[in-house]
Amino acid sequence: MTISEPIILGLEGTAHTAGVAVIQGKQILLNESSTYFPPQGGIHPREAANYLAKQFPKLIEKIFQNLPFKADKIDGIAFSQGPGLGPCLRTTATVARAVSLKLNKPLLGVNHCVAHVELGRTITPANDPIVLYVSGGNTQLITFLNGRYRVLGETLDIAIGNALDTLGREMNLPHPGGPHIEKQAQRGKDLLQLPYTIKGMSFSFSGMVTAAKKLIANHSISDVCYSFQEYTFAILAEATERALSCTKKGSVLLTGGVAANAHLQNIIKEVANEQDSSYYVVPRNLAGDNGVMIAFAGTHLLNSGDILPIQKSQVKPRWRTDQVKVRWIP
Amino acid sequence: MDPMNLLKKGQIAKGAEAIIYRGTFLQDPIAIKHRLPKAYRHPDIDNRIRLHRLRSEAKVMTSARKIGVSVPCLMGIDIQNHILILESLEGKILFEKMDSLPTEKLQPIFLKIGRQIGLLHSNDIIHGDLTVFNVLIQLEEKPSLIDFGLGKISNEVEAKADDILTFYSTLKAIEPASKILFSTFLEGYLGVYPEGKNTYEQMKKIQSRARYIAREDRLE
Ligand SMILES: Nc1ncnc2c1ncn2[C@@H]1O[C@H](COP(=O)(O)OP(=O)(O)O)[C@@H](O)[C@H]1O
Ligand SMILES: [Mg+2]
Repeated sequence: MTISEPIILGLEGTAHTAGVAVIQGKQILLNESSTYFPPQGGIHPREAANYLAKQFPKLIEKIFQNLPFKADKIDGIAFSQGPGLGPCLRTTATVARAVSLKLNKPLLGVNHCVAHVELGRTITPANDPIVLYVSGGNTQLITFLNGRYRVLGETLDIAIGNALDTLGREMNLPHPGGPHIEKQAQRGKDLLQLPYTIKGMSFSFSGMVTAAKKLIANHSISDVCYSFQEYTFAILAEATERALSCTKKGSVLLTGGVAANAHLQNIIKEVANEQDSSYYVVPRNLAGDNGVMIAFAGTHLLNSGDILPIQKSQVKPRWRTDQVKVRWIP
Repeated sequence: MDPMNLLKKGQIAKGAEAIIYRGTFLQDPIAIKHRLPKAYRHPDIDNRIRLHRLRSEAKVMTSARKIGVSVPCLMGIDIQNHILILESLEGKILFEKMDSLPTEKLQPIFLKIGRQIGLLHSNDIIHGDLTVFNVLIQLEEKPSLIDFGLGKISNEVEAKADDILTFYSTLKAIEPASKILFSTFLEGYLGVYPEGKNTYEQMKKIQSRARYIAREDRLE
């Protein structure tokens, strides 16, 4: 290669994580992030946005201090333009515009969900997989078809991460509940009955949370956690198997914050086996929201000339995965 | 006849849930649908689901056939082994068909599918998994419905709306002309089942409830 690959600064800020990273090609040069954990209850958008506003300057300063080259070597500023919580997105966009103006480098508006997919495509061998994207705010089955990432199935109400955290709070487990539920579940013995519904390749979790809450009074926390994981993961597994079977894509990629759950990883690995497909998962430290994924997706935008003029850089809180024109895949 | 012997015959298709084998019964070709256990889920969940779906499929398919909806004839059921024996249909699944035909050629097929679903719903029968992978197009572009494991008998408008929303969603995921084809489908649906306008209204409600629905994806 004669021309060196572009250097991209990535800014993630759609919910409770502020992430800043610098990458070049497939190489992660710097990666910083910090996450807001509310003292109790769920995320309040305004509080999370205030947190991001405090964190971004610190993180960016740290990154710029550690840059192995001058800041004007950076070729583009990528930021999470949506979907996400309005106040958080606006804070992040404000930071991104400022950096872009200061360095006089193009702005790149990245779709957060697409970024989770591009992270997996960059750092695992997965090329054209069925993507199971599981996080606190989103749960989708995604695959590339006719110029776009199509959503084959998704949650019809709350995301799996949100469901786990909500149940965790109900059982007074520390926030975020997901990892604690995973630990508790390992000690579970009895499978308690919960509803099991799947509609096409879509699913819903809020009814399952309600049913699980009712079990807390009369059963051990570990049995409730165990049963909740068994049921919800079985549904995700079945939807994934359907997607593999229908599209014949031959590989599956697990990504998003909940992808760090080892039990879910094992289950999806078995699903891949069942459909003679290969299985990939993003590394644990990059499963949750981060600036690296935004920068990787930003690289594709820059390479395909998809530059965002500042006057058109308003945030898109409801930006859907399948609205993005994916010009970088033939 | 021991169905397990027939299983030695050639596999013709592998779905997400089941393996389909071809066999013959009194010289007629039959399809043997075997729901396999899945190692990735708890055996209790696995048994519960497979048994429930086997029973539902047998019941709902039979009801659909009685009212004149085109479905394979159910010829036998083996509950212990999770096996259904079905009439084998010649044809291509809708998903493959859509690859080979232009929109104008697909429209008459979607009209007929709409009529079949209208007939189903006017008799309070829910398919439960109405995707482009579960409609089989036979000779002379005649659609038949398969895979009723998630089906049920219900007069709830919500269940009917779920059916047509599932159909629209899988269509939208694979087909650029999804809006035209879906409106042709609706034309057939409403023609047979005028009260189906409530189904459609409910479908739009569910859609707007769902998260991040893009404005251009909402149906007017
Ligand atoms: N009666 C039948 N005649 C011919 N082919 C069938 C029949 N039933 C199913 N098939 C074939 O087997 C595939 C899977 O069957 P299906 O009932 O949809 O099972 P699954 O639940 O695994 O999707 C179908 O897509 C179709 O190709
Ligand atoms: Mg099927």
